[in-house]
Amino acid sequence: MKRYFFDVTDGFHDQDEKGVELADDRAAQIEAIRFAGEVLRHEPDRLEDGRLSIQVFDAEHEPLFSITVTLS
Amino acid sequence: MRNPLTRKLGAFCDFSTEEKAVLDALCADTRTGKAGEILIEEGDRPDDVFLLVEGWGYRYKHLPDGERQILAYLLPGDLCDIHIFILKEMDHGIALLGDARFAKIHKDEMRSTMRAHPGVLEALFWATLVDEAVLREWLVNVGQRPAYERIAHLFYELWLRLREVGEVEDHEFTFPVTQAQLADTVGLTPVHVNRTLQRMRQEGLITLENRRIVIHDIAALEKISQFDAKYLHLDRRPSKHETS
Repeated sequence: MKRYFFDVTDGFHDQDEKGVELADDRAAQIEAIRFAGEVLRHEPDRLEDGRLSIQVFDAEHEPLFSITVTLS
Repeated sequence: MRNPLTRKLGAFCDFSTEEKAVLDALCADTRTGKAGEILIEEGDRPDDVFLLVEGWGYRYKHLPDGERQILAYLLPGDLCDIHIFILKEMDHGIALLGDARFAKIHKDEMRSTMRAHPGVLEALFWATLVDEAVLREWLVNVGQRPAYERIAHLFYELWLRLREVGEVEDHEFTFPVTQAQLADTVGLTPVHVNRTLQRMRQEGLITLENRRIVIHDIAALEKISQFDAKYLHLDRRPSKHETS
């Protein structure tokens, strides 16, 4: 298991201080996609500024990948 | 009154001394179990009813792909279904959430107690109705409430239920649930649960550390979850004029 951090940025940068342990990068990617879907479903107003981004970092805080949803 | 069963069912009726002795006898023989221990698996045909005396259990169902839904938390004083001995085969599993102490009550003993003591039977019937009401509320929670309100609602419910059985110190209680288990309870990804808990901490609502929850602002938690305690039926004792 490795620790991954999931930051969320809309108008505001919401940094993940604790992180979550997941099996590997692939699991982290699936988790990020599902998490993005849940944020959109549960907090649709977070896209009001037109852009919502989820950045995933590894245990050393190196960026791995990101998901960005835009409203235009 | 150390017996959590008497304490819990006492909310539904006033027991006679004899009935209290019967309930004490039911819980007399206890054993301990470790976190994660499975008490009953789906498909089992149990001969015993389990009663949690200390610690928590949970009811769950696994999907063929390995996903799991947690359907209920069983707290001290909760019987793991009084009707399991009527069912031919278990349609879900029951396991321990943390280290726990529980009593095993044989179905024959359960049956004879229910026949001999209508007061106990009525209280068990009430407890079952409340379990169903809690299940309905969890269904509303998972189906309709957004993540933040959803988790807030669960915490507030647990605080009330644990307070009933004397398991709350001020606004603090043991919470033997991992984040993965909490995620499977509220139907959210572990990341979402984790982020929601961080938000609650940042806002000064709760702290969850070392398997212990401290609620810093109980009024705010109640407001966020728009909690209506009706479904818990916390005081069902008949009033004087009802019994006369």
